[in-house]
Amino acid sequence: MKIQVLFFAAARDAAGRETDTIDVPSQSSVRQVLDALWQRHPGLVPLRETLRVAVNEDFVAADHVVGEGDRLALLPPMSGG
Amino acid sequence: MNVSKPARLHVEVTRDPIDLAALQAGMADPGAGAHLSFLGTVRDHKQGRRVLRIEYEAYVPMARKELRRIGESLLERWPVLGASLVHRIGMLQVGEASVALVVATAHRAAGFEALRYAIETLKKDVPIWKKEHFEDGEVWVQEGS
Repeated sequence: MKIQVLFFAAARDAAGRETDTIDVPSQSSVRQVLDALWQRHPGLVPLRETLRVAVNEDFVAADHVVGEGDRLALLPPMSGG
Repeated sequence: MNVSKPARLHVEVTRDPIDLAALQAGMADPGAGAHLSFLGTVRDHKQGRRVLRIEYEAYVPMARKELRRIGESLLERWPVLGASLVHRIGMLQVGEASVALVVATAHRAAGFEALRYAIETLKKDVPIWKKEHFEDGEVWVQEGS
């Protein structure tokens, strides 16, 4: 199934793009999607410990199970204000 | 005194300049004894380096959602009559306002607490990032600051 991935700020610079579409087995967890992403975008690896993940605009944990068409966002440490 | 009137909540992520007076006017409430405002502005220096401008980026739909979540917890945790939470994005010049928070409460103590909670939570949980532009380069700010 296809997951849409969104990159922001430092993660976008590291990936060299704003979005990607990734194909993962159904019932994949966020952790599995991330493992596939590190392979595909090795530039993200140095950031991996700092990134938070949102699915469909809500923060999720690594064991969250994603579904077809979900939007998964990689969020570097926030610095608004 | 009408205690059953619902509290007002206004959240916004905008590219337009922030009009604090308009936000304050929008929270006017005869039951309020305190209107507290916080305005965050672009500072001209960072650890001895001159900052020329700051670029703000947001994951807009999620930033709106998280701002609303903060607003709702303000209403739950303190006797807040109205709250306005606005963040600006895009390229901002030194001195321009990047964030404005307004809280109306019957008494000031709750207002100060609510306002402090709102800005600290915003910096931690609302998906907005700033890139500082210096004379010799630019960098995404990584730490909460």
